Amino acid sequence: MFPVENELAQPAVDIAVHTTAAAIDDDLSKPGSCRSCENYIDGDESYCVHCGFPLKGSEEEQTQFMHNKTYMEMDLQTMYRKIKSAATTLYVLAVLSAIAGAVLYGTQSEEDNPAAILVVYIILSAIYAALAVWTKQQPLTAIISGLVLFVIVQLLSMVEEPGSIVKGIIFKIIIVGYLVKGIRSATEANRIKKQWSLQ
Amino acid sequence: MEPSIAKESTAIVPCNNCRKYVVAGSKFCRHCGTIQEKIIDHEVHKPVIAALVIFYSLELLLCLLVHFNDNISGWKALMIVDGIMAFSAIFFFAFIWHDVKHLLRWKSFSVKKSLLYASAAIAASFIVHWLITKLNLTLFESDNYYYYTYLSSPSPALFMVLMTAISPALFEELAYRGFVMGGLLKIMDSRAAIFISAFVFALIHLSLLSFFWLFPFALALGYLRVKENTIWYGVLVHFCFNGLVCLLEFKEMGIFNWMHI
Repeated sequence: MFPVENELAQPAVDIAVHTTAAAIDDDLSKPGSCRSCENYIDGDESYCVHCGFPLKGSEEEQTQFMHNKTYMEMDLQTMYRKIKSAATTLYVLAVLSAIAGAVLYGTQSEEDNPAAILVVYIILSAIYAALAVWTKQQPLTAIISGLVLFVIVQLLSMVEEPGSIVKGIIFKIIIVGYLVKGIRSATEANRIKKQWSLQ
Repeated sequence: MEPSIAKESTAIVPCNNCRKYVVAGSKFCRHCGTIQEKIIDHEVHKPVIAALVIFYSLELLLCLLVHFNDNISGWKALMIVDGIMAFSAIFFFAFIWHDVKHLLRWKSFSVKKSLLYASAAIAASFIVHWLITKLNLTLFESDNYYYYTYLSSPSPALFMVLMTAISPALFEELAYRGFVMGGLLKIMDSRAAIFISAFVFALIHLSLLSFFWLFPFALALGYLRVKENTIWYGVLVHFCFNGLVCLLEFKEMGIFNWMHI
């Protein structure tokens, strides 16, 4: 009898692995392609040169490989979410910089040169926005650059007006937190993608 | 089949684990399944990452002091700050000496190439100088002259060339294209290293208005460093770029008797 109860008790990840394993078995009809990555293989190699799948390994080894790969794919999704949060943070900084520039332009006296202030804030906003967009291609580089820019802008504000460091301190900590998490996730995602040949 | 393709397809290299031969460019070994690409272990490179952070924090601190402390505005104070920065550049370069010492060689030296790069730097400097003058006059209704900083020095023109053209060309290249890029290349690919080193280099000047030219300039210097595998072309380009600014200032201020300095 088919063990329905046991199957239902399995966590989602195992169901995914079983599904993938079943798909692999069906895929035997495709000669010359790796069961895991579907890239072309000669047929005489022990491991796939594209993804490291144990082509001549036992059923257990092959299932374990697919199991680990599925876990990594799930980890990767979590990391992508954190990278996306970091990108959103950069978009928020871009919008806030633009708003701050517009407000200062409208409120500063002529002696403070509001036009120059507006130009500086527009440049700042454009850099944040460009980095946010770029997180899709180069997340690690873009988020590191965004964090460095944010820290330097905060230091400059602090030197000009020492009291500014405590203004919105919780908001600033949250921003740094999101960016740091983004950097860690991007670093880890790069490693996993390389090691498991994932996209 | 073209000969180059045939050569590429038969190239084999030993696996980095089992040492059996695999086709060059394979991601994994066909015999043992070990990944052939270099996987960066950030734990191993923690000292380099820490050194990068310490170096940049120190640079930032010094630049903030110069920009916001009125006591550090004279040429003597600037010389002291530049001296500390030069020492810092040498110290941190030496910290990763094993990875960057090859950059001090100039194996690819060619007069033709040097002239080409120098001409490009002079042309770019001329355009940037013109744009900055326009921008300053439009936004601030005045222009900024470095020469005034060195007026009280024994020889203003000489000191200006030393502090504006020679010192930055040598020590900023040693620091940013040498140490910073050298450190970054240990933990990321060359494109990312060029971008981040250029970005932090542009930001350290603490002027967002100057970012539009400092960033592409630093990108070009980073690219040169990777392409030529030496910092000396970068030093030459940086010197020509900054040197022309000095000459244009001398010309605009009517100081061209600098043969008597």
